[in-house]
Amino acid sequence: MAKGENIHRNDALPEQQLNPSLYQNEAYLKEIFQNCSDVVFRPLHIEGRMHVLIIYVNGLVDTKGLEEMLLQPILTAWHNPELDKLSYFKELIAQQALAIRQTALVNDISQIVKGVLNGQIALLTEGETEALLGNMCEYEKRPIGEPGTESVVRGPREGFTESISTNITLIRRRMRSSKLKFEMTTVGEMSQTGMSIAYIEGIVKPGILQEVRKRINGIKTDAILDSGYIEEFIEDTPHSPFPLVQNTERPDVVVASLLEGRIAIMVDGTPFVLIVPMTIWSAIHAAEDYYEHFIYTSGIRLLRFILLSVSFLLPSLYVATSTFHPQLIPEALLLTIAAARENVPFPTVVETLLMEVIFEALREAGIRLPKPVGSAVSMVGGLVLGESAVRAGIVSAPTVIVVAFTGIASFSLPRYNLGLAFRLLRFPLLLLAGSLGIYGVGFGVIALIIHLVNLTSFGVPYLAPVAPNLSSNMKDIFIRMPRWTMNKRPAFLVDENMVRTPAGQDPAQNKESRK
Amino acid sequence: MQISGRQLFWLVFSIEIVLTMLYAVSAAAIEANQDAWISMLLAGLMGFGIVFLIVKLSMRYPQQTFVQYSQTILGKWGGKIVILPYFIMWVYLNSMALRNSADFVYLTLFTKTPLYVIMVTLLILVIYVIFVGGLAGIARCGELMGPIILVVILGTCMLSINHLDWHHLTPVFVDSGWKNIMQGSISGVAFYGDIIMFTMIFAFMSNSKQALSVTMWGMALTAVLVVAASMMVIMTFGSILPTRMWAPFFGMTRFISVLGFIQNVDILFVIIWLFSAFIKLSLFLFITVYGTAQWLNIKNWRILLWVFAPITLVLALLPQNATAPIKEYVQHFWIPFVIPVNVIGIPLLLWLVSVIRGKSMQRKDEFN
Repeated sequence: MAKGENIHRNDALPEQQLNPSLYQNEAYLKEIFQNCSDVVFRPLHIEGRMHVLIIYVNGLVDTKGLEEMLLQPILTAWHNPELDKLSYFKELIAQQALAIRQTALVNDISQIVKGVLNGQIALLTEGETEALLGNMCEYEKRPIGEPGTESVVRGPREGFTESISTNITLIRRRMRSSKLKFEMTTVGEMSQTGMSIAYIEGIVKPGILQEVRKRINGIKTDAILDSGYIEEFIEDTPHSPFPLVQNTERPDVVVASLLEGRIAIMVDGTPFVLIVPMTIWSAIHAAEDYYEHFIYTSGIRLLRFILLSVSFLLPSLYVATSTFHPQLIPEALLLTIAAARENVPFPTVVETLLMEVIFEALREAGIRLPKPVGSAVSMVGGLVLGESAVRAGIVSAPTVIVVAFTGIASFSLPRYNLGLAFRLLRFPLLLLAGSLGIYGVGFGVIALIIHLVNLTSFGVPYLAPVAPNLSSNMKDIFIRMPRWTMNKRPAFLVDENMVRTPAGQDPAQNKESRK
Repeated sequence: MQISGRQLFWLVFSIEIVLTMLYAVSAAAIEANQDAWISMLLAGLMGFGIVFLIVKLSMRYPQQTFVQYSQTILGKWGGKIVILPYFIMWVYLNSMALRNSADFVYLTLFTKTPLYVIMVTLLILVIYVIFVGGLAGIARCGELMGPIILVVILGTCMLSINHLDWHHLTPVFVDSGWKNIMQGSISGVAFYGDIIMFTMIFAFMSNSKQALSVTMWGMALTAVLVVAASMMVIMTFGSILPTRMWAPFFGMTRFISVLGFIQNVDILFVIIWLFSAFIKLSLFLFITVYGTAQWLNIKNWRILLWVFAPITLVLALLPQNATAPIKEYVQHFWIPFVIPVNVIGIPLLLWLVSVIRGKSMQRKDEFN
């Protein structure tokens, strides 16, 4: 932000004390909320004079509760002649506060404005210079559904929603410990978006937590509409294509990460919760890895690493070998490829680039198009482009196979955003392969390795615990060991309270001792 | 910038193994024929000696690099003068390593691409890693690439087993005798002499107590694999052919054919060569840049990268052909000059002076 440049903000109201006259207060507030048709001013007139004024935003508060808990008691008590009117309100405020979840007494108009906009009700009375703010926030929410981006065959099916309070509940239900903390702040000068930093005290490294707080408090912008906004503000290396902040829709993933000493950043209005620090391995591990049997999981992880390299390397290796080093391809295969490519008018690199771009276009169109048109796209894409292009001899069948396999492989990564990085880097690598052959591919791979080993996420190396190597933490990287062998929390994230599962719980050994 | 013991291990291994494996065998076979592997064994043992000497020397000053402790031992000017031969070695070694690496890639993969394209692209990678990551970045790369190098070497050895002939190794020892075997081992020692570069690295270790054992293990793994490789080369080609070959182990990998499908695994060897060359070049250039900065008291060592990278490139372009950098450089520069002076002479001198002065210092302390 340049000097002297100020963000337009809504809480720039001057501090203004409440006036004993309710009419003046009403006039002042009505001026502030001019043309805000959703702000309701509800005066209670008794004996011709206004004694109570209730202000709230329609749709943000629980109107039924408002009737039951506030209006009815006031109106019934009102006809009691024994009560002195003014002192009654003090009583009312003191007592009725119990019926409302959370209340506060304020005497500043700007605070009233802020409270009302946050879904509280404000209760102003004649002759008092204090107003009651009551939290009766309730608004329409999407019900808890299955997360769209991370579905599992086995495991919990709950996903986060757009409401931060629901999301906090989803986490708290899985971790009933007072050590689990949620620090609330608001970000966005105009949007005043609620945010929560969740962590487990005693496990999280204080240094990392402090860094998270510092970076989040440093954010200055007008509005936060998704956690993606936050992500771009707090990354270590903003120019890297690799995701340095993990996002998830799954409460179980968040809790598992918290237990590893990570920190979750929850933002109101989005089901995507951020998790820091991120390592590249957490993008390759799926939630289900921990619910399915470890042997199966280890096999699947191996497959995922193969598919990851396929999605990154296969097109460029195909171009490099078929253009520069045909001697590397076994003879029979080489003959097949050469026969298929006989009539193709383009060099392999152009042909592959062409097909890659078409594939990306299909993928993008598949996401953006309205659902009913989707089948048309797959028809046109699959049949017309694939089949006819090969028949017409514009592209060769091996190229189509390579590109298709690459596409499938790139879908196999559990985290979409890491797939995006590799998807993007495939193109420069393809050009390198087309110009320098295998050496170009090697060049690209080494450059990628250099980039990856130097990345950090909140000070934690991106490739930890592989480089720098911590062999004691390798039980959950390329394979997954059984749960009773993973005794400790990752040492690159946690200093104290390391033990998760006490040793000696091997069922096979226990069976021996039971005999 | 700190490195762990494990990182040092992989650095030692990945720098020493590939070049020695490819080139030392043919030089040894000229002198020792089928006993080249005994030469390599001896070279490995002498490598241990060098490691022992330089680690013991460096560990007397665990917080200081070679440039710093030479000044501690010999005084400011004495220490600075002693670095001069090392400076020449650094610059020369950089450019020869670059030339070697580029030549290998050029000869195996290219025919028309100009050599400088390979050199420049390699240098770009090296500058990138030094600039962004420094030593820690290089060490992490080593940690990732080292295991890959090991796996590929073990894999090629396994796949080559079916065309080995034990009879090529016989008669053992009788044909050559100690003198020739010793002669043959010199080329191996020349390659292992690279380890002198690590005198600049030990100071960066997070746990300097590990230095000796880790470097020794790295050297041991290298030596064992090189002996195995030289035996396999002789068992494949006999004792005559390897002497005329440019890189006999690489030639051997070209023989691999399993089920008619796993063929041409030599490309994997080119990839690990690239890895090894990259680590070697970046570590050596880092040492040159960092050491020179310490030598000349320059605070911002990264600036020197822009001086030494072009120098390296120009010097690397000078040799006429591919054999010059590897054969002539080893025979006319490395063996007569670097090994006796830089690798053995000066470190031994420094150690002696340090031991004598160390004792006198201790005695002074006692008197006080």
